[in-house]
Amino acid sequence: MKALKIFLFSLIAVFILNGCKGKSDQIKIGVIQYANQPILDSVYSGIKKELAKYDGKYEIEYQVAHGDPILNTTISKQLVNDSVDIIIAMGTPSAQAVIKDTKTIPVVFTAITDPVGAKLATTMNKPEGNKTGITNMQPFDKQIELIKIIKPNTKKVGIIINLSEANCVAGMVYVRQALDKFKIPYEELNASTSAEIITCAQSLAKRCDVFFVSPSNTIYENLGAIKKVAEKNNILVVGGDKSAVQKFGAIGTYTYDFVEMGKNTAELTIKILEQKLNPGDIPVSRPQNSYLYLNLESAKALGLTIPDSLKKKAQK
Amino acid sequence: MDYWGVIELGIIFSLFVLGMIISFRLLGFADLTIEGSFTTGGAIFAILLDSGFNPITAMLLSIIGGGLAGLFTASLYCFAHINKLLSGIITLTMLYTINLRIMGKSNIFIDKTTILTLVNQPWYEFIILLLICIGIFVLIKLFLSTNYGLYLRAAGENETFVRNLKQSPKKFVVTGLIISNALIALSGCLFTQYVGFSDIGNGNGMLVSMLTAMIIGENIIRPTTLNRLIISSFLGAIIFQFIYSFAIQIGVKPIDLKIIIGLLLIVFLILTKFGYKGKQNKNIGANFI
Repeated sequence: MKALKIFLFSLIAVFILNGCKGKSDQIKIGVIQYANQPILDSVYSGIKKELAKYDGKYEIEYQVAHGDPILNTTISKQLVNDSVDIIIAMGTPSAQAVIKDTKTIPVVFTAITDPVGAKLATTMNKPEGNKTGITNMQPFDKQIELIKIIKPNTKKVGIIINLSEANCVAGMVYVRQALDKFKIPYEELNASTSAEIITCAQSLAKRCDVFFVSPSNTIYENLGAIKKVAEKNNILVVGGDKSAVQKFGAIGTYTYDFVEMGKNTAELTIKILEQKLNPGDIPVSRPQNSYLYLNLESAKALGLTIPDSLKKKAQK
Repeated sequence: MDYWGVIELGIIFSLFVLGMIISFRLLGFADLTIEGSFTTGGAIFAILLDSGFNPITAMLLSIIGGGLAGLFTASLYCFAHINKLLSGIITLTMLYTINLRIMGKSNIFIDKTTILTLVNQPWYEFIILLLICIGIFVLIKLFLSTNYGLYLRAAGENETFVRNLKQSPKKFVVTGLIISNALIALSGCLFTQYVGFSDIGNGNGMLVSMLTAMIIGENIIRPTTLNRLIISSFLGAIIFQFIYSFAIQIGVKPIDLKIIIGLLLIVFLILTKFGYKGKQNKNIGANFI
């Protein structure tokens, strides 16, 4: 028992010594990411690439919370305590933790679907306080319009959603608006695990002829399962990110390039640092360009023809 | 490292560990509800505060919410005769939906005044957390020292003994689980206020982390008396939080952190076994882990 106590006390001593570290003259950028998801990973690779151009002028302190609440707040506090010069936050819970922990260090949040709903920004035009950022609310109206163009006589669109994700709930508001605008009937089912998603997809396949990929990370992770059900029942899949079209047989989508979004994030971060701007006055921005991706093989398999006008706009 | 932050989180988690000790140790009931009631505490608090309730009322109601979750698990075990582990799993699964229903969405940010921001001073947060924690410790100590509390402590260790005293052990399981889950909801409620938002994922992985904290605490201070038991929960939570922060500080990749927690748990469990070699185990409570 004594040995154990000595071990613990020496551990505490190391903690204290660890607190006394020197500072370098590099500009320190703290990056906190809530979980390893394809989109957030792409955004980060964009940030890293852009900052690497400055030849070590910026030092990145990058931490991933892996969806763990204790880790999330511990990392956030650590970044603030290390007094980094600016913090980039990816994922809603991480961004919320950071803006709670610091009111002085500038915060740039990125890839947040609904900054106002998550109370990260007071309004999109004037976020107020020490934070601003980039939203990734996808161009849903354009995605829904694709359904109308490719399959004008759609019977019903089936959508699997995950109500436990803030991103999905916020995005679906716009999806529903777009569907109503184009007068397309739809049905939603809620699923929060892989097993539930397959069951929901099979159930929807009986009543729908189009699947729309909702902006949920769980759905993105299970696109493979959705693809299987869709192929079996000759169902058209529309929406999602680039990988949904290129890997998982979705016929087409309009989406952002997330590496480019990372680049924009890094540019915004540097702008704030160099020009000493007040983040609260910079409007929350959206990526400037959305790109159309088409999968002609899926179209052929379903016996659908895609108008040439659309083909011209698409990315290779 | 942010020492105050580490200690503050440790204080919040010490309430969790104390709740866990009541169910796991005193009652010998491996209650999995706790991961759910931790989120419930935060969820109820966040939604009530958002709809204009006073933070103190919101906190009291969130504690009651956690207590109800405990009552439900206890009823499943005592009245529907469902296995202990299963009753916890059932409630935990159901709480996922309930928590989502309570919040109406998966994440609520708190921008109103909370208990922790009533006074705008840097020392206030620490002091109020410490006061709440000490207050709860004293209450629990007083409760467990009463006759009723003595029966409760006996119920986990020796059911036959309690029956011989013409008392129903079930009664104590119900009370114990209500108190334990109420404490954990309080911890969840404070955690929500501390991090500034309530999220459906707030309880993720909490069970194993806090189990580690509990075992660490028991190794440092053998819980042979009630006072030592309570202090062990406090120290365990704080030291666990220190190790956690330290691991990140020295550059352990967060992706490897879970395996470190697992290994830590194994080391301390083995230490526990060695600690008792050739001695009589005088610890309070059931010793099934």
